[in-house]
This record gives sequence, C-alpha cells and structure tokens, in this order.
Amino acid sequence: MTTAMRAAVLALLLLLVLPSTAFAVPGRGARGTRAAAAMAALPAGSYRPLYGRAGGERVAVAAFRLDRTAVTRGEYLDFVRANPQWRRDAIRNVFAEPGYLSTWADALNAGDASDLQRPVTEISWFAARAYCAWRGARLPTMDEWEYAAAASETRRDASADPAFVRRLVALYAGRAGTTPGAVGRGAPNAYGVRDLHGLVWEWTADFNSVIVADDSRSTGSGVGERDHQIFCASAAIGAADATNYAAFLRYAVRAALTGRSTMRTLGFRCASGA
Amino acid sequence: MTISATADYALRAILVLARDGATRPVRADEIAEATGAPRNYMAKTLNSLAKAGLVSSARGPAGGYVLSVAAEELSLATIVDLFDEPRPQTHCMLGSTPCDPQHPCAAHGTWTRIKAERRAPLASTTVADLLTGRAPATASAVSTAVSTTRTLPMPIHRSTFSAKRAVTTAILATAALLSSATIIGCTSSADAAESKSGVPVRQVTDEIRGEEVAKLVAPPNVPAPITRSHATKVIVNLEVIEKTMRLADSVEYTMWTFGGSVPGTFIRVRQGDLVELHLKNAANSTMPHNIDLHAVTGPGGGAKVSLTLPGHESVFTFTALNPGLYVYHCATSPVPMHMANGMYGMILVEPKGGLPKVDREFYVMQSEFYTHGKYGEHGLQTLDMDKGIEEKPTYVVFNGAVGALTGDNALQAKVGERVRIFFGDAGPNLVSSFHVIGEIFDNVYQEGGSMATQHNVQTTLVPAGGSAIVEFGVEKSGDLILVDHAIFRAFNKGTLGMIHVSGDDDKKVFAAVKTGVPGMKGE
Ligand SMILES: [Cu+2]
Repeated sequence: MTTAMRAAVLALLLLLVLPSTAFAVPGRGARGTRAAAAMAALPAGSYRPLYGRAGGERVAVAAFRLDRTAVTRGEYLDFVRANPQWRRDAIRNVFAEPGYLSTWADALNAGDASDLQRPVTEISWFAARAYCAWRGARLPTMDEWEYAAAASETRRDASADPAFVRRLVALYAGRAGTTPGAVGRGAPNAYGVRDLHGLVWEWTADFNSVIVADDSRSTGSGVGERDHQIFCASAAIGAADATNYAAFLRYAVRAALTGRSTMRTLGFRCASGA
Repeated sequence: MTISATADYALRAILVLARDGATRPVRADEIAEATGAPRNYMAKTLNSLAKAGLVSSARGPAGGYVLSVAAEELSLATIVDLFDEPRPQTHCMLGSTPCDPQHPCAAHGTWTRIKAERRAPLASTTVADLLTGRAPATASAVSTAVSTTRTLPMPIHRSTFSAKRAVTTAILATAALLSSATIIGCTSSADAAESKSGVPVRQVTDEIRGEEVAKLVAPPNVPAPITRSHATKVIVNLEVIEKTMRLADSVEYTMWTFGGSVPGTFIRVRQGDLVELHLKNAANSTMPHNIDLHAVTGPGGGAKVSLTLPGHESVFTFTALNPGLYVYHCATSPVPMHMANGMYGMILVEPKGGLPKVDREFYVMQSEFYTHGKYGEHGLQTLDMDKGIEEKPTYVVFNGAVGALTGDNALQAKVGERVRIFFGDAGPNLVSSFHVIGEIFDNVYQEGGSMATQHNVQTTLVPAGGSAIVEFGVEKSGDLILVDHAIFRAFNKGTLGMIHVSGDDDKKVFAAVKTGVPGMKGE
C-alpha cells in the first residue's frame, strides 16, 4: 500500500466521525452502583481463546473489575423501577423477545425475597447493556469473561486442566430442567469471582464477536465463518483445544444468540475499567 | 477493488445506528435521510446488514433498526466485506484452471497480499473508534485528505463521500498499475458440477397435494406405512427435551432427546413429499440444539438453519428427494457431546411404490454411552469425554437403555409373520455388526438404501451414522436375540434385544433330539 493510500484511508476513518456522543443511555448515573467490594479487581493477563484470533496465541487482557456475582432479580427490579422503558410491558420489541422477564409475576414483581436473590434471566443483550450503563459500568467483553472464567478456585488459568474442564461440562449439563438458585453460593474462584459456571450462561458485550472480530481471515465476511464454527464436526477446525468441551458449549450458546434473545438460563454481570 | 457505493452507505448506516440507536430504533427513512442514500437502496442495504446479524429491526409505528453488535467490536472491514469482498477464489481468469492457496496460479500470491494490505486499516478500526475519534491516524494524513476534499450537499458527515473519493482515487491508481495482474489473477466462479451419466441431478417435479401433520411415534414402534400415491406437505413437529432417564437398572443419565425418547421419534414420509420441519427446544433446556437429517439435501442437512435456543423454534422445509432410511441427529457444537447424550433418531423416506407389505415393523437403534462410573455403577451418571475420545464406551445399547428390548419390553411376533427392522447405528463411534441370534435375514437393504441388495445374510455391517433395513419371516417360536456380534458388547455393555415369537411351529424347521445336559429343554 502506498503512503498516499494509507493517508487517504486513515483520513476516511477520521472524517467519518459523527458530531455526537455515542452510547448515551438515559438515567445513566451512580444509582444502583454496587459497593466497591462487590466487584473483584482482576490483574492484566492473558488467556487462550477457543477460536484464536492470532493463530492460537494467547490474547492479552487489560486489568479490569468484574462483579463477583451475577446481577440478581432484586437488582434488576431496581433498574426497571428507575427506568420504566425497560419494564416488560413497555420495552420496545426490537430490544427483546417476548420472553423478556416472562417468569416474573408482573412487570414490577420479581418474586419473593428468595427469588430476588436469584440471578435475573430472560434478559436480552440490549437490556443487560442498558442495566450496566445505568450502574456506570458495562458488560464484560468475551475476552474478559473467558479470562475470568478460566480460573478454578485455586489457579488463575485452569483451562487446560482436564479435571476442571470435566467439572464444568458436568455443571453445564446438570442445569437441565433446574431453576437457578441464589447467587453467591458457589465457591469464589482465584480472583474472588463466583458462579461463572454453576448458575446461568452470561452475556458478554461482544457475544457475537465470532461474527465480527476475526481480523486474521483473508477472505469472506466472517458470517460464514460463524456458521461454520457452530455446527457439526467442523467446529473442531481451528479450535485451540478440541478437548475443551466446556468452551465449545459456551461458544455454541453465544453463537445461537441475537441481541434480542432471552433464555431462562441466561443472565449477566457487569464489568468496569481497573 | 474500491469501496463500493453500497458498502459506503452500509458503513454510514451503521454509524448512524451506533450514534442514535442505543436507546431507540431508527427508522429506515431516517437512516436514508441521514446518509443521503435513496430510500429503496438503503432498505436493501439494511436488509443485507440484518441478514448478516449486524443490525436487527422491529416493525410497527415504534419500529426501526438498532445495531445488534457492540460498536467497539465491529470492524469496518466486517461491514465492507459483506458487500465488496469477492467470493473465495477458485478459478483463474484465463481458462477454468482451478486456483486455490494450495494450487495457486501465477498472480495468486501477489493479488492476495495486495488485497490483505488494502484491507488492514479497515480491519483494525472499529465503528466505536470512528465515533470517538480514536482512529489511528497522523495529523499530516488528515490534512492531506482534507485538502483534496470537495464539499458535497450531504445532511451529515458530508465529508464521507469526498474522503471516500480520496481513497477511491488512490485505490484506482493502484488498480491500474495492477491491471495486468488482474487479468491473469483469480476470479470467483460458481461453476455448476457436471452431472455424469447414471448420476441423477434431481428436480422437484411432484405436485404437492394437501397437507398433513406427521404422526410421530416413540421407539420401538414406527408409524404405519404410507398409503397415499401422491406427494403431500408433511408437517413434522419435533421438540428437544433434556431430561434424566434410565440408562440401566439404578443408573440414570441426563439425556438430550428428540421428542422425549432415545432414539428420537421416528419420522415417516414418502419420496417427493415436502417436509416442513419444526424444531422446538423446550424452555427449560439449558443448551441450544439443531438437527441434521441425512435425508436432507441442503446446508448441514438442515443444521445450518435450525440452531434453536431453549424456548424457541426453528422451521425449515425440504423435499425428500432420495428414498431410504436415514439417521438424523443434533449437530450443535460440541457435536460428540450432543450425540453421546442421545440426540439421534431416524427418518424413513418410502420409495414411491412403498415397501413390500410385512406383518411387523420395528425401530431399533444402537448407540453408545460414555459414563464416569463403571458399567452398572448406580446413580446419576455424566458424560466422560475422555472415554468418548478414546472410543471406549461404558455402554453399548439398543434403544437408549440396557434392557430397552428385553423382558417385558421384548418385541413381539408370531410364527408365520414377516418382520421388518429399521435398524440404525447412531455411534457416536462404533460400527455395528447387527445380528439376530436364531434367524437369517431374508432381505437386507444394505446401508439403508432403497433396494433389497442382499439376501440370506447372517450379520450385516451398519456404519456409525448409517442404517440398514432387514426383513425376515419368522418360522420358529421362542426368543430371537438381537445383538451386535462384536460380542463383548452384547455380553458386557448391554447390546441385547429380544423378539419373543409365539405360536405353533413346524418341528421340521427345528427340533431338539437329545441334549448333552440332563434335564435341559434345549429351546
Ligand atoms: Cu443438541
């Protein structure tokens, strides 16, 4: 590429900037902010994604903070009270499927005291994102989530430990037909984060990054690549560790989601900068 | 290669959505106005973006579009590639010589490299970078481009066009230099496969008359033979249910099932039928699932379009082009786990004339289970992936459990009847040496094809992910024993079934004359 071309491309990138702030969410503020202790500080590090963006290399993750537990029904109820546009009877169709909060008794009734301790589920990505923004936080990226979730109770990276992977597979499969219990009951992992595997699947900011973040490919839109990775035996092609069934299960769930999707076993937690 | 007008509009539509769509859907006409694109054109562009999963839309007065991926994660290349990236290069432009990375033509390497370099800045810049001004650029680069900018009457970010033109100019110049390379370079080709004599390229010609909902029955039963002599639309409702079931006495396993049974419910259609398959996933499932029917001619046997979240439903249609007995299974990653947990069944596509009439039809499918506990160890067992990878099953069973076809569950027949078994092997790993102790298969439709290809067979080999149809007349009363004749499996892992035959038989067929063990009856 010539210097002139590079200059021109960079200019295009800059000049496309729109005269407005991005991602403004009404009601954004400190309300609902968890006590500092409710978030764990994770140091900078790296992890090995199931589908490598750098040819199977480890991916660096900057220091960040992550909720120690998933967002509960009680916490989400506070958000809905403060932001009525996210009530299930007011939410715009485009932001969530009809399943949104559908097991609540009504729009402002998330159940009894014990229900309020359970992770909120039936939440779309749009809703999860709005909640975290309201709290002055954000959703973790998939890299951050996977980095945190690679930790066992004793080791920061147990992702290559067959016993750890086996335990996760059993945990995921064991959820079939059950209702998730209260958050915080699971043992903290090496970073002090709980329930990343035991309770519910969790949203990440870039859950669909398998579509959009692959910079290593040389042709194709990446959409086909996403399709390619989630079905049948071809899923093993390009996987960093074809024996990590726990990771395959997580990636398959993410691949099945759209921003509007809701599931009874899908919740979230928030993250923020270090 | 330049950034096309469509890709440019798409890019700008995405920017509008990233800016305005975080809190409300943006209408297509608003986007058209904001980007200066003709309405129809923008509608088509938005459609493509929606298909690719980058935006989603809602209808109605409050409807419109929102960005459905994080702006921080969406690279400009992703957007541009949707519209501009050529299909994979498979042929050289001169002649039809195949051309791919393994067998490149003269210009392949150079051209691929140039394209990659041109694309790099687009790949490393996200939509959020643009919105927040974090684009990696130098001041001189900006001023150079700005000085070449012409002002155009665009409602917002009017400089987009002109900047694009600056790029276009630069790219065009390069392209001109490369034109000779382009001529011998690769181009994509969608050559249809040539059909060879004796290999039909099938067409859908049957007129579809009427519509029916398929009766699905659990194993070992099969729906009644089809009596109609025309093609129809068949609606198949399959629900995926995850539930804990019996694997052996006092041994349980959380099975993932098609229709609540292992193997899944049996589907029976006629060649030429238009099948509308509804795959539901129960709301209390924890995994997404899909279905790959080997009877389907289409992407992934349907798997590519049927990935279904818990509480959701997918629908696709296919014409049953080829007759035969086909396996279906879940193909969601990790496939071995979904199959090891019980996600398989069979679909019979009857040939147009039907199958010869028999008195009994049964559905038997062999499969393996890989558990952490040893064979027979009590309690709820879970998948042992290591045993799966080593292909060392704990259980090899017929119809999902030890004893599913023995004792009170034995199949029943009478002397003088003709029996047909639709036999499948789900694997996930092992092939089956299917044998019925005390009988000889009169007809075998090898590998589940539509013709009885072999007669008088003792043991038929059934591949994993394959099937066979076996037929035999029953001449003798007593118990016939179904086994995988890889006999340790039958003895130690559960691969046993039984057909109890009642009625009077002809002693000329078989008679015990003298037994070597005093008091033993022999039959
Ligand atoms: Cu499945």
